Amino acid sequence: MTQLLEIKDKIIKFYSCYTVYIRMAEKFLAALVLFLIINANIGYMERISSFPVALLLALICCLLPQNAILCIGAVLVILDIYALSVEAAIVTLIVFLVIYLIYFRFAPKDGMAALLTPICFQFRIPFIMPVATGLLRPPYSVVSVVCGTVVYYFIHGIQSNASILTNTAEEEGQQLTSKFGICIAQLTENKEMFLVLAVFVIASLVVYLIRRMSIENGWTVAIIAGALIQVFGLTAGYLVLNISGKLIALIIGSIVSLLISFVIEFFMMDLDYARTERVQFEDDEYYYYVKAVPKKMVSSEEKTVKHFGNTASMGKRISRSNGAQGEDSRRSQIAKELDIDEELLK
Amino acid sequence: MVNEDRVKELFQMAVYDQNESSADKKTAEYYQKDYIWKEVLVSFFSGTAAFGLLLLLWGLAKGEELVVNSSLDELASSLTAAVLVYIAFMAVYMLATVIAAYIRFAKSRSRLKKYRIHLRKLNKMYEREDKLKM
Repeated sequence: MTQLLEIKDKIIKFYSCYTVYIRMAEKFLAALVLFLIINANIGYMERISSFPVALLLALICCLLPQNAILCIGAVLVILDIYALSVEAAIVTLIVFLVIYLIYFRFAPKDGMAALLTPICFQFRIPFIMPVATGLLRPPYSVVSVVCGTVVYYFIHGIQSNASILTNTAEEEGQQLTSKFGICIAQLTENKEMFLVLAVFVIASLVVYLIRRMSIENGWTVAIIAGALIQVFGLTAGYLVLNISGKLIALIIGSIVSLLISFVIEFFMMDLDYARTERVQFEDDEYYYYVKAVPKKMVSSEEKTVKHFGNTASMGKRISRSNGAQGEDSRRSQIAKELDIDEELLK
Repeated sequence: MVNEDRVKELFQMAVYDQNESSADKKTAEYYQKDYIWKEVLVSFFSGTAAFGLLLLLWGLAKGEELVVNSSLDELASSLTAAVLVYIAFMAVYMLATVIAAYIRFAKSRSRLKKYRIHLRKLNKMYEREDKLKM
């Protein structure tokens, strides 16, 4: 445990020393992963769906504000879907605009949560997002996870229906509304999406409420509660909706998410409840009942410099001409400082 | 010699200047009521635009079917339903705007207050130094 705390301390120190560069690296990584996922899943426009373009855009993103990643990602998605079907691109544009107008006008700082949600979905660990927002952000941040989830399911639906959308485009005499209908159905008739949204919102709010409670190991309890709500809620939902083949991914994803949540807890709120102190005091207006829980920390190494000899003469030239008498006095001084018998130094 | 206390105050002020000052400057130009009204006004337009876009989506999916298969009465009732949904949507959206604007304004004011405290401390330090020089 001490070693882990030492590593944590080193990581925090490293982060605080190079915050500017690490933030840039974070943005670069997030942008690159997002653009590669877009390319791999809906890379219908070949010109923009290559690795060099993704790399170049990610490099640009690391110099821009966080929300620029979202904007560039949205433009890429619209262009890719445009190459598949103009109608799908129009619907995508409208969806992005509605999300921007309704939510991101209020909370522009939560862009990262909306960005990470589809990425986590791609890595099969979306269950981390409601728990992480519940732990680290205010309760309304769950809406950014909701936005990310809606975008993921919408794009996933478009990808699943790509062949139908292309076919309908080729068939003459087909009504335009059918293509719009297919796209909009991904939002309105996707029961799995509504189930996931409901479970995520409940889990995030429960995590937030528990971690704010004044109980021992509040964060750990909140994480476990969030994970259990997601596992049981989604399992029950899948059974009711007759969705099969998702249980194993759900359990494995939840376990991985749980581990990541504990890592977050270790870095953000690692408390030593054994040393909890309860104090009471008062001033003119209030009586205070205070519970103080110390953080687990590694005591910093104290470097002690041991001076041998006459410290009063430090930095001065010591005369060597004192002969035996001087040597005797030095010897007695050293023996005194080391707390040993003077005879041992002879 | 570097005055440590002054550096601490300057550091706090620089952190604020770098991160929050631009947003707070906007809110500082208004009284609370005016700021909330301004936000409500912006929300009215953005909410209407968002609802219009949602309506457009619905129209794209079901519009043709509605126009071809519905009578005038059914169209009128659909329009009434759309207006009612719009009013409900805007009511919720406006309420959220008022709450968000109120919280944002309060937070901004408290940050500005802290900034002013640092500024005052710094001023006193400079005044003390000037007196010592004289």
